[in-house]
Order: sequence, then C-alpha cells, then structure tokens
Amino acid sequence: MSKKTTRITIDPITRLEGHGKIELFLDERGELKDAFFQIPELRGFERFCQGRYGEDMPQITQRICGVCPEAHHLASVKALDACYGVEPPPRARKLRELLYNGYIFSDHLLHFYYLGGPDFLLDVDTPPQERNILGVINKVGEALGKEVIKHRSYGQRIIEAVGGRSIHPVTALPGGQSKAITPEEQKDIEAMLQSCIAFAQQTLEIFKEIYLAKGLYRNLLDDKDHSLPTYYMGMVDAEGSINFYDGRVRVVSPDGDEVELAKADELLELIEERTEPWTYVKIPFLRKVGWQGYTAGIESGVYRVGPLARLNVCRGMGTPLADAEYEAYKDFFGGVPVHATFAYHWARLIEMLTAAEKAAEIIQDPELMDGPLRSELGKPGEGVGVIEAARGTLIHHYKLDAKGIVAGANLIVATTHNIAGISVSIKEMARSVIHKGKVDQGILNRIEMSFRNYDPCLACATHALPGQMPLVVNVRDSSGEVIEQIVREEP
Amino acid sequence: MTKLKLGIYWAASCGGCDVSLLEVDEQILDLAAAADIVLWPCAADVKYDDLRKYPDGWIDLVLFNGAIRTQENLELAQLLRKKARILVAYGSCAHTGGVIGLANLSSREEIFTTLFKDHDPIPTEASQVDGCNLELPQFLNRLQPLDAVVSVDYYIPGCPPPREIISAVFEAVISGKLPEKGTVFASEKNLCDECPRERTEQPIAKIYRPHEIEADPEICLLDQGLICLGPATRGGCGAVCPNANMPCTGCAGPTAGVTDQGAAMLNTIASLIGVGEEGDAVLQDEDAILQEIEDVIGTFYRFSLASSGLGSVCRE
Repeated sequence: MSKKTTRITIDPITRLEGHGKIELFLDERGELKDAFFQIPELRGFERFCQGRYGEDMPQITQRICGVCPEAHHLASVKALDACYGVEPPPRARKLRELLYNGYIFSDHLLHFYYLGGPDFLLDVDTPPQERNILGVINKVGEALGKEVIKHRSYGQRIIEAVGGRSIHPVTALPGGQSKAITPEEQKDIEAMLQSCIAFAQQTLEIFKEIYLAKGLYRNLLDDKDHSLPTYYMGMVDAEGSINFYDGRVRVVSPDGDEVELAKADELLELIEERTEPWTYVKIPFLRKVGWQGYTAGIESGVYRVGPLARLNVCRGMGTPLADAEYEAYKDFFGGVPVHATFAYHWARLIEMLTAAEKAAEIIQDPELMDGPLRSELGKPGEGVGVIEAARGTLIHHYKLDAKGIVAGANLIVATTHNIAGISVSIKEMARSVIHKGKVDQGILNRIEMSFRNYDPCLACATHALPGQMPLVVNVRDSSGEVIEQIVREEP
Repeated sequence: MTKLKLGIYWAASCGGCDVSLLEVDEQILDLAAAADIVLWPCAADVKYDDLRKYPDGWIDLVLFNGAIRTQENLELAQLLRKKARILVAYGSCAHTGGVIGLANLSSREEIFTTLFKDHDPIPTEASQVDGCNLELPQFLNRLQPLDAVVSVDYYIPGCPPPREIISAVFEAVISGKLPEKGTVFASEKNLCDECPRERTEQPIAKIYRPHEIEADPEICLLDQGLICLGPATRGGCGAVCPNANMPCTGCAGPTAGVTDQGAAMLNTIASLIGVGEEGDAVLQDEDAILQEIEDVIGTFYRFSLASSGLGSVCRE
C-alpha cells in the first residue's frame, strides 16, 4: 500500500438534492487529511427563468425539486405577491397554509420511516441489505407499515385538494389562488388530519422508546464529535412561534442570542455566497460574521437551517401538543440551542406533529371556505419571497419588468444553506471513524448517517423500496490507482 | 417465477419522478413483491462501478427519468442502454427535455455568467486543493432528451407522470404484458378529449395571462382567452390543471404523430384568434393580438424545447 496520500471516493452519494459525491483524502498515517462534499450537477434555473412570465414562476421553479415542489411553488408566489405589492385575501392565504402544513407533515413522515429511520429503528447489527423500509415493516409489523403509507398519502391528498396536483401543484397565482376546496373535501381532510395528529404522536412515542433508549442513536446524539455549535436560521411569527409559511427570519448565535430578525426583503443582505472550483453549488455564509472555512463556532459564518435550527430559533411551536413535546425536548438537552446534529431527527418529528395540528386548525377556519380568492395586483416590480421548506429557509428573489416578465431571479434553497454544515459534519464523522487507513462497512454507514441528519433533498421521497444496493468504496492512491475496494454486498 | 430486475435512474431531474412512484400508495408493495430493485441511486446505495459490472441486458426494465445535461448523464444513459433489456423514458425531462430544456435558449457560457458572475473561482472540471485532485463532470453545451442520445423502448410522459398511468405501467410490468415497443403510455387523444369544460367556440379577441383574470371554472380556458395547451398535448392525466382552474402547460408532450408541440399549438392559437369577418384591418388586429404574447418559448415550448425543431438548432 502506498505511503502517500490515500484517496477514498464515494460516488454517487445517495439521497441528496442533486447528485453528490464525497472525496476523502488520508495522510501517510492513514488519518483524515481533508474531505470534500461535491455536487456535480447544475441545471441553470436562474438563467432560463429570465424572460419568462412572472406568473409562470411558481410552476417553473418548483421543477428545481420534486420532493419539495410545494415549498418552491409558494416561496415563488410569495415573491410575486411582493413584486406586485399585494396581499392575498384571507381565504387564499388559508388555502396556501393548509397545503403547506400538509406538505411538511408528509415530507417529515417520509424521512423518518423511509430514510433516516431504518438506521435506528432496526437493531445496530442489522445487515445493510435489510436496513430499509421493508426491514422497518418487518420489525414494526405490516399493520403499522400500512399506516405509514396511508398517512403519507393523506398529506399528499391535502396537497392535491388545494394545489390541483400532489406533485408540482398549480393553483398559486400572484395575489391569490386559482381555486378553493369543496365542502366535501373539507370534511374528508378534517378526518384525515385527526388521524395524522394521532399518527404523529404515535411516531414520537416510537422515537422515544427506540431512539432514546441506550444504543446507536443515543450514542451519536450524546457524542461531542457530532455536536456543531453553529449559527441557526428559521422563520417565526410575531409571538416567536415556528411558522413555516410566513413571518420574520430569526438568526441566533451558537450561544442562543438573537443576532438578526429580518423581513424577507432584508434577508438577502445577511447572506453572502461563495464558490469553490470543485462543486457546482454556491456556499452561503453569514456576511457579518464572515467565512472562516468549513468550521463551526461563534467566529464562523457557517449557519444551519431546517428542523434543528427552527427549534433553536423559536420560542414555541404554537400548537398545544407539539408545545408539550418541545418542552420535553428542551428538558432533555437542558435548553436550546441544541447543537447535537443527530437531534435533527427528533426536531423533525415535533414539527411533523405541529404541522398536523396547524392544518387541523386551518381546516376548521371559516375564512377557508368563504370570501374572494384573489386580490387586485399593483404594478410589477421587485420582490422577495421566503418560506420554511421542510429542510430549511427557502428564498426566491425576482425582478419583474413593466410587463411582468422576469428580468432577474436569484434563489437560495434550503439544502444550499446547509452545504457548509453538511461538509463539516462529514469531515468530523470521517475524522472520528477513520484511523490508520482502515475503512469498513460500519464506517461507511456512519459517514452516510452524518449527512442523513440533514435530510438532504431528494432523499425524503425515495427510501421506499427494498433492494439495498451494493455500495462500493474504492480506496485509491494519489495517482488515482485503486488500491483497495470495500464492497457492501447486494441482498 | 423469477423476480423481475427493475432499475430506476435519474439524470438531470428534480426527483419528482422518483416521488411519483410512491403515489400509487400500497400498490408499491405489489411491485416490490414482483420485482427486485437492482438500481435506484436516490433510494439505495449504489456505486457506478457496480453497475458497470452487471452483465449487458441483465436489468429487465430501467425507468430512466431526467434529461442529459452533463457528461455524467450522457455516460450513464449509454451505460444503462447496454445494461437494460427494456429502457423507458420516464417523465417530461427524459421524454421531451422538460422545463430544464429551456436552458437551451442560452449557451453554457451565458448560463455560467448568470450563475457565477462576480464569483471567483468558478466550478471547473479539474481542480486541486492542497494537493488533493478533484473532478466535476462537464456541463454540456446543450440539454437533450433521452432518445436523442440512445434508443428508447417506451415513453411515460408527464411532469411527473400521473398516478393512473404509473399504476397501469406497474400492472403491465407485474403481469409481463408489455405493449409493442415505441408505445407512449398515455392517451392517443389530446387533453381536450378528457377536459370537462364547455367549448363555446368563441373566437379569441384578447389573450389574457392567468393572473389577469379569474377564469370561469366551467368554460373552456381558450374560449376565455387563456392559452391552454390542451389541444396540442397528449391526454392521460384527466386534465388535472384545467380542473384546478389553470391552463394546461403541455407537460405530457405532443399528441400522437406530432413532433413539434409548440408549433402545433401556435397553429391552433392562430386559427382561434378572430376579431371580425375579413379584411386587412382585421388581419392586422389579429396579428396584434398574437404579438401580445411576449414569452412564446416559455408558453408554447415549456416542456418540449429540447425535443422540438427549435431545440435542436439552438446554439449549435
């Protein structure tokens, strides 16, 4: 074996918004020298959005991500509302919020059971080929398995009733919505949501029973190596409660102090983006704090978004059942901010519950069923729309010309905010598990778990089928020659 | 019975096609019982090197979603053609290029300028950081649908394909009764055929954009002056967008026998516009109505630019 730098390539990394790859470089002692999290994909939305009709943006931009199209659809229309200087009427806003909470519920559910869950719901020594949703169903029983499918479907049916389609909805227009829901749909959704609340509670009980017991998850949760004291960003309402659809964006420091409370149009000022020659994704950081490299701490402009971040910036969930869960979460950690990266999983489930509760409030709101669907538009101009996607803060910024045509578009998506954090997590995990050049099955899975916390986009949708694939990691010397190959066998 | 070997792959795509496979709810369990998933990079962990080791023709069926945008997409399309007995273009991007085919209005340099202006360094195919060599796949100058780079056996249109069609495809796969090659899994008729709206046959005297009016939910959207691509678009989705009071944007691609969806729709619109009986003044007025359409490409070629006559000459 070569005594020079050793290179370990994992390509493709699965379960990301975009194709991903990890390059690990080990020094002559076989210890980690550096790690690179690369996104080798680009489609160029910001370019081809130019020249399009503004009102087409909610449908065009959601094709960035088919896992969270609802987030793009509504961030986009909120940017258009701002461009046209208009507030949608209460009924349209309620419809959007109903759709949106249905989406958060469905998306978070999928991550827990299909994606992140198999790592922890099953025993630590479960072979990789059984570490999937079917393994989970075998463990928890087919009855619960079908409940998982059913409740994911409920979330999708809510999106479809409001948005016209369950993937890539179409009903959002600047100033309102193109259609309402019928009284029959309202009745059906009301029943679905009661079931969703109960299922979210049941899921939290499963989490506490299995995850918080002694074992792999608990060890990773407690391990200081996987605690990253970063800044956090997320949206809150006037009371400081979590709000996925609207509010102000709060940023807290690693010490938990509020450093910013920004309106949508002030938000872009807080963020600066940098580039690397080795990835197609731009890497944002907090402008005022500055870029100190891929590192955590109060001096580093690295910040994180998503469930963990939102629970660190809010004062409460704004719904009774989820608030009680949030208190238990804070008690467990001794308060917020929580820096343990593996707490993302827990935070996600508390959000799943509050989303079902919020949707259940909206479905009974008289404003949902009565009143105009559209407001009169002003003249087109510039606007920023911000929303909390399942994975974090999502920003759409458009400039429309006098004819309402897009002259410029800038988008900062949730997973992008987390790129630096994910990079640090991968590096910290690799540093803690790779020693003397030894790489094996367990190590591979730990490295996968380190980014799975963040639920990088695409992943949430897809861990549905069995057939865990063989994963091969090639260990190469610095000239690129394969010197060792680690294979995770096919079933 | 030997289980089928099923592969699912995504090239340049959004992941919506992968999610759409879950929309059949519990039927996914039937599929899992009938087929082994031997490739699904976004769901299961596979290395491209493993795929290369599969014998040629070893995978019974590959559902390929996404377009060809990078060198990596191209190489995987060629590799999967070799490994698959049956290769299916799944969803708009693989079928006709999709929304992201609109990038063919710009060159690679223009796209990079928009995205990375004021930034240094910009992403490059080969770079080095402290002695570590890193590579990125080339961003090709032009986006292509799947059948522009390899031969395709079947097409499943839509962005994403609708639940009913996926369900029908699963049934065909599970029962082993696949139709003749080249089949497009959708209606042979256009979208209007399944749209419940009433046609008034009114000529269009003014074109409206969707945010400018509140559409009557019962009357044909074209009759109301909204550009709905129903006449030029393959049916099969049940007219979901018109049913949501929004125009069809053409995601299922051209109707049977038509190659240029945008041109077909432009023809239709031109024939529907009318402000009077005859005479030069009328023709001028009608022309003025058409001139009001500012974004012709985004309106008529939203999903099909890369597979249209226009798409193949852009930036060549």
